[in-house]
Amino acid sequence: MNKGRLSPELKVGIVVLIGFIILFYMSVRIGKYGALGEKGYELKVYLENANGIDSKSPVLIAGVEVGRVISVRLENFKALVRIIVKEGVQVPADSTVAIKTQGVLGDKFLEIIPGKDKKMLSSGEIIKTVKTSPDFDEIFTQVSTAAKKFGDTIGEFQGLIGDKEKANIKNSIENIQAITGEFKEIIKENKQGINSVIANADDALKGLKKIVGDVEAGKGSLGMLIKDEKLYTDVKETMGALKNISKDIEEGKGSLGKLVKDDSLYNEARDTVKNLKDITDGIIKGEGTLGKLAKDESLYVETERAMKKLQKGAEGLTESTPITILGTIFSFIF
Amino acid sequence: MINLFGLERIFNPINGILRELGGMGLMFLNSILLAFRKPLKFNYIFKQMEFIGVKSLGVVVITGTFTGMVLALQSYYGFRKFGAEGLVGTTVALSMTRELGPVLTSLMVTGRAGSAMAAELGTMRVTEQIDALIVMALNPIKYLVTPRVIASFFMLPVLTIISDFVGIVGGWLVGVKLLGINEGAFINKMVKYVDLEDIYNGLVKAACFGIILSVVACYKGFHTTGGAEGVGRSTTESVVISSVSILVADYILTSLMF
Repeated sequence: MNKGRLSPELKVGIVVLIGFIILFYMSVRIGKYGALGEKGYELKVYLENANGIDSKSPVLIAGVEVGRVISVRLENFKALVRIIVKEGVQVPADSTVAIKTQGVLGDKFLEIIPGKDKKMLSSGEIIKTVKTSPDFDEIFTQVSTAAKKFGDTIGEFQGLIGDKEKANIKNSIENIQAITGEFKEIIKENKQGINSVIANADDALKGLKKIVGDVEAGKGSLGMLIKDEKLYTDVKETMGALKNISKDIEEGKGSLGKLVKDDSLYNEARDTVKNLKDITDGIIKGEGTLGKLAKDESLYVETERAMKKLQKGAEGLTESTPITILGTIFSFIF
Repeated sequence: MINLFGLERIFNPINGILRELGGMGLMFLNSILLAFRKPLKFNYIFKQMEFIGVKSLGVVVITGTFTGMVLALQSYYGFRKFGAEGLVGTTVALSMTRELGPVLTSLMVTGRAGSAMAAELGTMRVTEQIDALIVMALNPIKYLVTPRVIASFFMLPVLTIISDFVGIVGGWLVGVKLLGINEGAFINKMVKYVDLEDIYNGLVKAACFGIILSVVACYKGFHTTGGAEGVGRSTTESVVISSVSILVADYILTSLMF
């Protein structure tokens, strides 16, 4: 109030102004969406386990903070987490939500893994897919169970192996070593041969493959044999007919049947053969006409003579033939 | 009333505490109600604001700065053990805005302005100036208490936000400039983990503490008995009761807010 000094009102005004400036500055620096002014839209997600997620937990896409959790509430024994996402950040409809951990304090945050859907989620919609990660307790339980089993197995194994078995195993290993060493040498020596064998085998396999392919496709006789059903039915019919024939034969039906079954034919044939034998015996001995014919030389001489005469006669006939023909022509004219 | 701090209190302490509590509550209600009754003398309020706010500024700034500095130093030694020096800024900012800013500011104001209020009013009571006000048909509560309560209510948050700021700046000086913590980590982690709510709740607390300290100081001063000795006793008691009440109220308010 005194002159030359600032009035109390002014002093108070200055201090209050400083206070407001600081408050404003800090609010702007710290200010986040949802609290003051900054706009965003709300999304929901149902989590099986929202352990560590609290209101104000950050929401990240690709490591960039795009929003915050507003509230976590139980609904139908699932955690309904409402999040607010900055205006201008769009979330595809098929996005996935995962709970992740960050920092030394193990802070949990929600990571949105964007999907590929063209459709974007709008305010109040639910992100449906959630990627669950087992929490530490579960992991530790599983690891400890696994470790216990492993320990048991090793224990059993140890009990199983005595000194004798150890020596055996040692021997076996030495043997295996020796064998592999030899094998290695063999391979080294025959490297080229083995290569060519492998190449040949390769070619052969290729050929085989082709053949199998052809057969599969029904090409060639083998293919048809395998693939064509007609042949099978033919064979079946033939076999049926053959069966009938053999049955008939068995029963003595038809000529072949009789031939097979009737004894009389055999007997007759035997008799005939016997008779034939008798006749030939006769012939050999010169008995009868045929025998004489075969054995008697006079007939041959006679025959030769006759033949000679016949030849002469024939020659004469040949010379007189033109005259005879002329005479015949004349008799025709006159 | 005469024996308020004498026999009656010794023999019936619960009765005395309850009576004081009720008296303080009534005084607070009266002062607030009277604030809405014209004429409201703004220059009295501004005078008190100057006394409580502006003149406490230096103490509050120094306290805030060094609190922030020592917080940075201590938390640095703690966090360094597991390589989380980046969290020093967060610790300083959260501690300052949530607790130390409002509480330390209120305690300083209690020590500086609260004691002065109690002494001033106590002297006025002992020298019968308050009785003279009543004779002049001036309501002593409206004339003496209301401006102090209103001034405390408005100035404590202002002092607190300044204390928060200088505390964080002090922490930044020690952490970044002296101990060589990465500045980006310091600032970013701080901004990330401190929310507006932390600051605003701290300010709400400070306003509550302002009411507590002013009401306690005024009540003690208003009901001073026993001459100069009584004034001294009132002053001491007002500081002790205010400080303890502020700390107790801080716990209650914190559990309600966070």
